[in-house]
Amino acid sequence: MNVKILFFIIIWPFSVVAQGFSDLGSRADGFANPELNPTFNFPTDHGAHPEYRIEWWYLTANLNGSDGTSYGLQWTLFRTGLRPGEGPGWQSPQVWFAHAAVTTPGQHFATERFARGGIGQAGVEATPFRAWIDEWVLEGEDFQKMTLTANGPNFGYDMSLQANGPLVFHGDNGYSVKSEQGQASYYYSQPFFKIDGTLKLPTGNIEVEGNAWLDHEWSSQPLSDDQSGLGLVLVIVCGWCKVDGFSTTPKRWITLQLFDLDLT
Amino acid sequence: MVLRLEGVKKSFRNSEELVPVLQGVSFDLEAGHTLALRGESGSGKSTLLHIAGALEAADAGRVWVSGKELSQLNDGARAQLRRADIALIFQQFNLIPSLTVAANIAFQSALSGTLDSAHIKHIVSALGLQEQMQKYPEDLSGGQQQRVAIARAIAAKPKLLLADEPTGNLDEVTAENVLDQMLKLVAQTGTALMIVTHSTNIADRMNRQLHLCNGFLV
Amino acid sequence: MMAWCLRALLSHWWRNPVQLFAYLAGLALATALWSGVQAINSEARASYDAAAKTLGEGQYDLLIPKQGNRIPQDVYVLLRKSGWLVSPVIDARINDVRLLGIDLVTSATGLPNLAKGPSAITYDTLLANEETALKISMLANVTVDTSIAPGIAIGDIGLVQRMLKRDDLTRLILLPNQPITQPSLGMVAPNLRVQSAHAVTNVTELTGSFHLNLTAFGLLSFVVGLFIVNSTIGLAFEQRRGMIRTIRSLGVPMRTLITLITVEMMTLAVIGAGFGIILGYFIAAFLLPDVAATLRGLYGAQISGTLELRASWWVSGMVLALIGTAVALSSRIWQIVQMPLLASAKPRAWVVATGSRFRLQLIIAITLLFSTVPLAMTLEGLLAGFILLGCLLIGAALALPPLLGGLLTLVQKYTVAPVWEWFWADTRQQLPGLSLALIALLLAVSANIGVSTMVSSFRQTFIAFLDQRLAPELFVEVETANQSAALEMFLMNRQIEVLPLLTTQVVIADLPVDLYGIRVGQTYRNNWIFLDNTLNAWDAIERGKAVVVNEQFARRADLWVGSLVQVSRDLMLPIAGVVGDYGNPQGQVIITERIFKDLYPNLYASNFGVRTKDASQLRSQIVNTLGIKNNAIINQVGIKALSLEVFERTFVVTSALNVLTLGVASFAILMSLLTLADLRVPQLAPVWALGLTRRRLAWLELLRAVLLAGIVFVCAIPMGLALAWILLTIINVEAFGWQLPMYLFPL
Repeated sequence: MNVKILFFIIIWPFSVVAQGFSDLGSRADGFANPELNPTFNFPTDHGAHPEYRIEWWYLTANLNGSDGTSYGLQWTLFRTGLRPGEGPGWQSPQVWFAHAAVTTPGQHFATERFARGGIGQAGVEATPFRAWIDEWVLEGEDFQKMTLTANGPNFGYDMSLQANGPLVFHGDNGYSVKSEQGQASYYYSQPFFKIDGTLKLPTGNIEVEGNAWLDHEWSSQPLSDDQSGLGLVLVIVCGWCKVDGFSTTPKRWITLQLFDLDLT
Repeated sequence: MVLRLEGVKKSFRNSEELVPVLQGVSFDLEAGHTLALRGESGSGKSTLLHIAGALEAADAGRVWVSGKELSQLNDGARAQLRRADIALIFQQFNLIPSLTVAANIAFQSALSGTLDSAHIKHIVSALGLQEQMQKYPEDLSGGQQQRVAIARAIAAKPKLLLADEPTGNLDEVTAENVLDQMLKLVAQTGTALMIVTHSTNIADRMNRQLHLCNGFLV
Repeated sequence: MMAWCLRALLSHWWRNPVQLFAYLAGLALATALWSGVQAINSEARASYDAAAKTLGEGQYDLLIPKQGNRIPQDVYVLLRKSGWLVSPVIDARINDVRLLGIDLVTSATGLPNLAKGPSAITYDTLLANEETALKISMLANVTVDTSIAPGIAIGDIGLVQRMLKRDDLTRLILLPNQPITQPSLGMVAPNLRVQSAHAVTNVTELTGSFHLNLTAFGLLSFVVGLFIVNSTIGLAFEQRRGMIRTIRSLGVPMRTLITLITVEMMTLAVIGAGFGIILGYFIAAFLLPDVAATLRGLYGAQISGTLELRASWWVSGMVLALIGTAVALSSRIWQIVQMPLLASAKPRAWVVATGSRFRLQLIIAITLLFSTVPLAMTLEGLLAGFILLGCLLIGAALALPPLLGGLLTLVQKYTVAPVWEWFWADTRQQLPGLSLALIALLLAVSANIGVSTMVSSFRQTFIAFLDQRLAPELFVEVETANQSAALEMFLMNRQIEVLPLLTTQVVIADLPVDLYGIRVGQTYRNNWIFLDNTLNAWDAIERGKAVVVNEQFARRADLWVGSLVQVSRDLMLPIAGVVGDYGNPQGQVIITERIFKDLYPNLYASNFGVRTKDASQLRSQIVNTLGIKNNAIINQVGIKALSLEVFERTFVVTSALNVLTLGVASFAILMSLLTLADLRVPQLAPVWALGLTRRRLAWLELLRAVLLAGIVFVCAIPMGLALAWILLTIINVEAFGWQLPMYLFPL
């Protein structure tokens, strides 16, 4: 677990409180909430929803080298809003962070990035689809055919993705209930990507191919009063712990569990 | 026996030669007795007094004060003996210039923890010092200072009172008067008195007289 | 027993209040200047530490513009999107406060060290210490954070940009752990360059010598103060000899007496030093604004204007005072221990110095004074400079009493009139008693002459320097390349002599250096004075065959006229001249405009000197025609006034300390005379009895004091000049990096 993540997440919710957004824990904080029977509007809904508090694009892949070695790959872009909506330049309330990882049978490489919204350093646009933070990019003419890059101090990758199946909607047509109290998210996946490309590792470049799964989920998880901002921190910290520890067989349930954890 | 000297010898180094001052002096002094020590200038009277007062050590021989042999005592014990059992009246009055007459008189008895206000009051009035109590020594005449020194010595109720020409600075009438008072007070407290003096007059008033000549008692 | 014994000891002070005052005041003065100076130093040190922590300077490499001090925000985003992990910083002044805008999200590793944690920074709140917060509270919400360096306010980059009405950045922090693939900086941001973390000049190092100077002054007055303490302790012991003897004969053991005396003197010392610390606090509070101004003017270092009671300085003052007292006390106590109970009770009134002691003193003094010559020639460094000063001062101090003694003996020998013979003999007899006070006076007066000589030399040099450097009547600063070209064209068309100044920071001979490109012309040829130069230096420079360097560079790199300087990778030029450059910590290398433009084709001249007869008319023409802001044009008179003000404030502190030291020394003399007066009465009485009137005697006493002081002043002149020479040629070079010519008797 990187201290930086912890640190970063702790700051922002607190600063929101400091500014007088004290009812962060209630529903009346201005964020939109997922409604039953959603109608998705693609490709627009592939992009960011800053009126919701939290959102992510989460890609995992199982890969094989030409010699049959298994590899795992992960690329995640998180967005969290301190307030709903956008603002000019540095005043944007959106904060972005990202995580990328590659696992080989013996090693685990991971790195992360951070950015403020509003100045162009990070964001997600729907048409053409482009999700980026710094030089990390997931982009394509549409959601069907995309390229993916990430770099770290000791590894990186350049991949191509080709969808060969339909989008899958979780829960009730993409309205995914997370708790008995009724908290829910919008949640769909593209589980049928063919993926190939190059892993850049300290030992050299490796050509790989395999299958990938992309989740896109957004919500405005109201935090219970007694947990306030810390609830969010705990959730994401736990999430990251598990991501960091993920093995060659990615555990899909991590993302699903994030929200459950939040609500208990 | 308050004071006992046995074969006391003392010499001083004078540039190159060793000058003998005391060449074997022995005598006793009992409580309540008075003794006059006479002799010419430089005969060693003061030295003998200092040795008896535990201010100087003898080169040879032994000295007992209140039954304690001085050569066996360290600086602390000798100081204890000086403040409790011995009182000295010097030629130079040796008052503390920055303390008042009252504080000077009380000083030694205060040091030894035997401060007796009534006794001091008695001594002060006997010596006629009532008016001078709040003055400083430098404001007093020589005779008055001498009386303060005497008052201080007696106020401490010593067992042994050693006086070096105590009336040397006084005119005849005052000297007689002071001596009267001193003897009266000594008689009242049972103190042993040894007095160094040139004066036959004074010496004649003591129980005993000793003459020191060339370092020997004659 | 203890109580009565102590009562007797203390009654001495009660009866001799002047002595008590001298003792307490000596200690207080010694402690005051020392702890005052230490208070200033520790305040400054705390400020430097806070600044280093707040700014995170010197930890990371930076990306800075090759020219100017602005980076468009797009360049930042472009760099990030190209895989350059950098964090943006905006750094500018507003209302005399340095505003630092940072982005917490990207700069986590380079974060300032904050007392309240980074969570205190929000979108619309600044952090600053109390003093700074007051200055900017009308501009933004400010949360007080004591750990932030004085004069700096930190906030979110967005807030700071809005406050400054700017949309650009000042520098980018180059974060560690850059990704494996990255395009070159030149491709992404050709106008930026990397400034290595090591290239940032360390404020602590720069200012170290300045603080050492202050410390030296503090120490000097401490020593003078201890002279007073030592002599009052001596006097008190001499006068209490009789009392001590009496107390012992009345039956107080030696051990008790010594314990009591030690407790007594040390308790008084604590009281005196306590007063001194309080006094020191006020001295420091009084001097701090000027010290702060000096440090800002000379080194650009910000220090807090308010003083805090830090244990480090007041404890050091107290401990030093107690050690000083203990040393003076121990020798006296040793004398009591050695003293036979029945030793003469007459006060000896000072230890009478014998001829042999004077001889020994003289031998040590001569050894010390002669050792300064080889020391001056061989040793290097600031510490060596101070060792040299020490040898000179101690040597002279030790030599003074024997020399005075010899002089008086000589005069006495040739005096016939009996009164005068008595006068000289009596003066000589008093010499041992007065010698410490006279030494204190000698040290203080020489320090005064030395420092005054240095300051006046500095002033003369500096004013002449300003005249040669600030020859152009107007100085214009432009913001863009277009403005630069337009201004030059505008002035050329009017046939006005214009002196463009191109500048960039480079590393030459492993030193961070300001590289200047100048247009060699009559102004330079007529006004600039070289410290050393080759024949026809300006011709060589104009032809691009040589460079000029400033003295700071020459000294640090040890490259002088004739040495070759690696100006760029492919260009090596000899030094044709070294110029004095006073009041500037930075090294400079100056080349001709043409070569500069070859080396840095993208840079334009952002500063211009303009020669004109009618400055105000030209000024309004430039403002109206070219749209250059009025405040971007400064006239020569304004700069000179500003520079002189910085200069004056630099030496306010020095002269204040100087006066205080002299005050302490005069006090020492006064106290010595006062305390001696008591003892003198019996010595004067016989002379009076022999028929000298009181009036005559009083005049003679006064004459003696004036005479002795006069002799000391005469001795102090060569001492002071030697001191000035050491200050100027050794200490100053080490402390500031330049040497000053010495002007004799400029007073």
